[in-house]
Amino acid sequence: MRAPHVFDPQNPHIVPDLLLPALSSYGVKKEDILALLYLDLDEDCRFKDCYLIATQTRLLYVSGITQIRKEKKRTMRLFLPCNKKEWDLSALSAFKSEDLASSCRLSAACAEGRVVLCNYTLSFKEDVRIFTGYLESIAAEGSFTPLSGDRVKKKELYCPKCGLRYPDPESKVCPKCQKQSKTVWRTAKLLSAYKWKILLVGLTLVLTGLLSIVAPYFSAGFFYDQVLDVAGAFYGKIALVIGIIVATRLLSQLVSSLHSALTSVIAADMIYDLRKIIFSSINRLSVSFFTSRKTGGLMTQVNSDSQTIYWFFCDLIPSFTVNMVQVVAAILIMFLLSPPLCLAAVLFIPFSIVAIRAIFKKMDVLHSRRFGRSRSLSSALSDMLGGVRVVKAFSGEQKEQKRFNKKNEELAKADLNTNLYGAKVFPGVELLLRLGNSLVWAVGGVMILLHLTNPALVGEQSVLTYGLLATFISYVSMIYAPLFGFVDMISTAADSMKAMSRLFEIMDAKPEVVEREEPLRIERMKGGLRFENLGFCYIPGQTVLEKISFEVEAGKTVGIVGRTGAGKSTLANLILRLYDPTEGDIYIDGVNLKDLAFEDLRRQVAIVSQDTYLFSGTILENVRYARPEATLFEVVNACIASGAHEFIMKLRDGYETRIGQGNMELSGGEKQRLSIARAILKDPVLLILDEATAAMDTRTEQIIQRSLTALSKGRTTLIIAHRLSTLRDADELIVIDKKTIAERGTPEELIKQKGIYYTLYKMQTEALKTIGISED
Amino acid sequence: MQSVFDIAGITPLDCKNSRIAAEGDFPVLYRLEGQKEERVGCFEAKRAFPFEKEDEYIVLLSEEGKDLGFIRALSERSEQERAILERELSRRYFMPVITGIQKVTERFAFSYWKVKTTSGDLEFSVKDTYRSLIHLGKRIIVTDADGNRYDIPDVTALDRDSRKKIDIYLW
Ligand SMILES: Nc1ncnc2c1ncn2[C@@H]1O[C@H](COP(=O)(O)OP(=O)(O)O)[C@@H](O)[C@H]1O
Ligand SMILES: [Mg+2]
Repeated sequence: MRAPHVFDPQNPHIVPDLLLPALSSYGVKKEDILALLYLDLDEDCRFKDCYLIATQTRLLYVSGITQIRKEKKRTMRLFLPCNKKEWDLSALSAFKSEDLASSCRLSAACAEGRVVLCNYTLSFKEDVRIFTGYLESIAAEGSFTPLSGDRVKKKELYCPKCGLRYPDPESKVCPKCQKQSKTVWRTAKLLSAYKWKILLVGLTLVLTGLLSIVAPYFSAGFFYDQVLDVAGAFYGKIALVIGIIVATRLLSQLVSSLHSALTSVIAADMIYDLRKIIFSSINRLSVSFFTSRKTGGLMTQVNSDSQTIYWFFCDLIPSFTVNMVQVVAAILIMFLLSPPLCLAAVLFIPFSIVAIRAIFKKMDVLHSRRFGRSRSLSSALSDMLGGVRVVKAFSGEQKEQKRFNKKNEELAKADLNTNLYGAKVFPGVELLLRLGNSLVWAVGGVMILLHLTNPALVGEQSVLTYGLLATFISYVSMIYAPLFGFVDMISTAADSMKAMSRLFEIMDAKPEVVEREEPLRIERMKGGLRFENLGFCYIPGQTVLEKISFEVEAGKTVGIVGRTGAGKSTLANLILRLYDPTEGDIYIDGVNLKDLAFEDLRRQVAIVSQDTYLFSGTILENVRYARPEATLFEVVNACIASGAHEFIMKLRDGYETRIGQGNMELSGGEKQRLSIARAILKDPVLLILDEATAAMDTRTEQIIQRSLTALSKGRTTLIIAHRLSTLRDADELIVIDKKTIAERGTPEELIKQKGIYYTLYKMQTEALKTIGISED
Repeated sequence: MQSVFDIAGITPLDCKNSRIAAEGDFPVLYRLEGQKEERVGCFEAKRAFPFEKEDEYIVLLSEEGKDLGFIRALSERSEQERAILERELSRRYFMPVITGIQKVTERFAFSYWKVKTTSGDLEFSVKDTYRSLIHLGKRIIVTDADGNRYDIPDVTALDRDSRKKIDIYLW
């Protein structure tokens, strides 16, 4: 469903032709229109086609329905207006767009109070934001300049061929226009190194198949007609023929041993490779990918998907091919033996295929449900185990048990359903095939009897002997057995297809933050930092920061103050380029962050953050994570400076104490001290302290504060702090409030200003006084 | 025993200390103190428990997002005030209600939906479907890739065909 008109920020005045009749009836001329915006909700929040139209003096709102008429192969689109509102543009002020629960509205102040101009879904937020900017300019200055160039990100969200939304607008792969066969092919290409090995596996399978086709010939018809029959060419040579039979069996056993040996070798290698591919694909993605997914799901993915994909290529495809060859060969032989009987045998195949296809579909649904539930169970499990401390602290074991039981039951139910379905369906298919077998017996029997009673009727060349019939029956089972095999393969195939598409979901996901091609390299930065009109939101429509502009001279210390949730940590994330700003830019030494090499940036910026993550390993490894080549002397010094040394030395294994993952756990304050040590070791040009001492007691904080002050000498430092006393030495303070910079200046200036900072400061000193702590 | 509210000095907005009126399309809050009346300004009304308690714990926020207080239950207010609040709330919490599901196809990370809603027919796409459905007993809320939400007040009340299409996401 595509909108009849798309707002183009660079050419906002374009008017869709279908709107012209309506406009002229309102007395609006096409050339008077400065900007026109399409929206999808009307004033009663119904899906309609609505337009906001701005001229020099007026703002017009029209809602209506677009009718599509087919006339002589030409599709005509007509706009049938339903409602119209109009405002004097110069009387409107204070435009404001609001996010409601599932829609948005744009309002403005006018003489009667605040009025709603229009409603729209969240999909149109960006358009409205730009359009409102234009309106403000028109209302204030009478004109506006359309945004241009990089300021407008042209987003292609939909596939031009089928109109489907791209799973990832960056990679522009449309899942509908992309066939499943293509997915298989892409995976195959990834594994092209294995093609000879897989071919070898196929060859052993083909040999097994051929031998199994030959075997019945000797053991059934041949044995009866040529060996046991007086007229046979091998009459009485039982030993020889038995020898041949045993030899083929032996050979076939040998080949299949070779087959299993081969596959076990390939399996290990290929699964290893697949895991590596999946992990490295995950590893290169930006932070946002992980915050929007459950890690439990990703864990399953690395482990079991590699297994499944291996199965598909090394087991499924080869055995499928061989089965197919076997079926065709068997039918061919049967045809040569006796055409009418062959017809009888083949008669049931189309029915079975139809049945199998239907089963395939149903199985697919059952399997994806089973998969969904097992994924849900495993992510719930990783949740519960990860949060085990919280669970215990709030004695939530019962609750968790219940939650787990519920998920577990659901999975069991899905399992049961899948199995039950199999149990119900497979005997049915088997019956169908047995019927085929019986039909051959019946037709064959009748033919033999006919031949005995009335030889002339049947004709000489299609004489059916008992031996021939027996051979035939063995071949019949040879076409039906693979058909069973196909049914069995179906579930594996369905799982493999899912695994492969998940693989490409990850491989195709473009990291949101990408390094530019040929990025600028700066060996040692000076550390000047500048924000220009910065805006950011994690979730489209929920602005966290907007219009942030400030500059930090190299070597200076700037404090950032604001309530929790004001977006201070977000600012730090942006400097590290964990996310890219939605609007505006950040410059270091005059170089746009987007042009800078990741390596250079992250080597020279260090952050000590609120929540410190430590890897499982020794304390030493964790501190050295910042700079693996640091000497032990440096490590110890860094830890002394950060105040970590003391507690580390109380541990039995000192710096080699193992932490995390089933080993000893550190307290929040201890973790922070380690992370400060990390930062010291890194010797960064730009240091960000994000509530670095929040988890420590006041005394420890004061001690570390000295180290931090020393550390910040000579490097650009951003200190984000709750406790304002830690910011006394800052060269400048920036107060973030309501998404943007509310106040800035030196601490003394801000106190004189008596604004937000002053209030916060007073509150804190008073609060501290009441608990008996003086800050000075 | 003193309640936490009393200790923290929090008092809900009631008819004695506040009055609600409408200006233009928006509601306005007045604070009352004895005979004195002070205009606080336009406000946004939000439900503290939008799924559990639609008519209780209505939080009023100033245009700048500052907390102005909360109303414990709509039923405490006069009919006129209730109408103003209800109009504002129904606008804010407007969600198309899905009445029938014509098609759901899943490809890669997205599922593509074609549905009938109380606001008209509609197609949308949902990212990571399992995570984008909020289950509230029989009620289900679908969030699409742009963040728009759609309500299914009672899945069991959907027709058989519709239900079958989303069956795999339900538990
Ligand atoms: N990964 C995320 N996804 C969505 N919203 C987020 C994310 N991280 C933070 N936020 C939101 O962004 C806002 C600013 O957060 P943050 O920068 O951490 O604030 P603070 O100033 O306390 O450090 C908060 O409202 C928070 O809920
Ligand atoms: Mg923070």
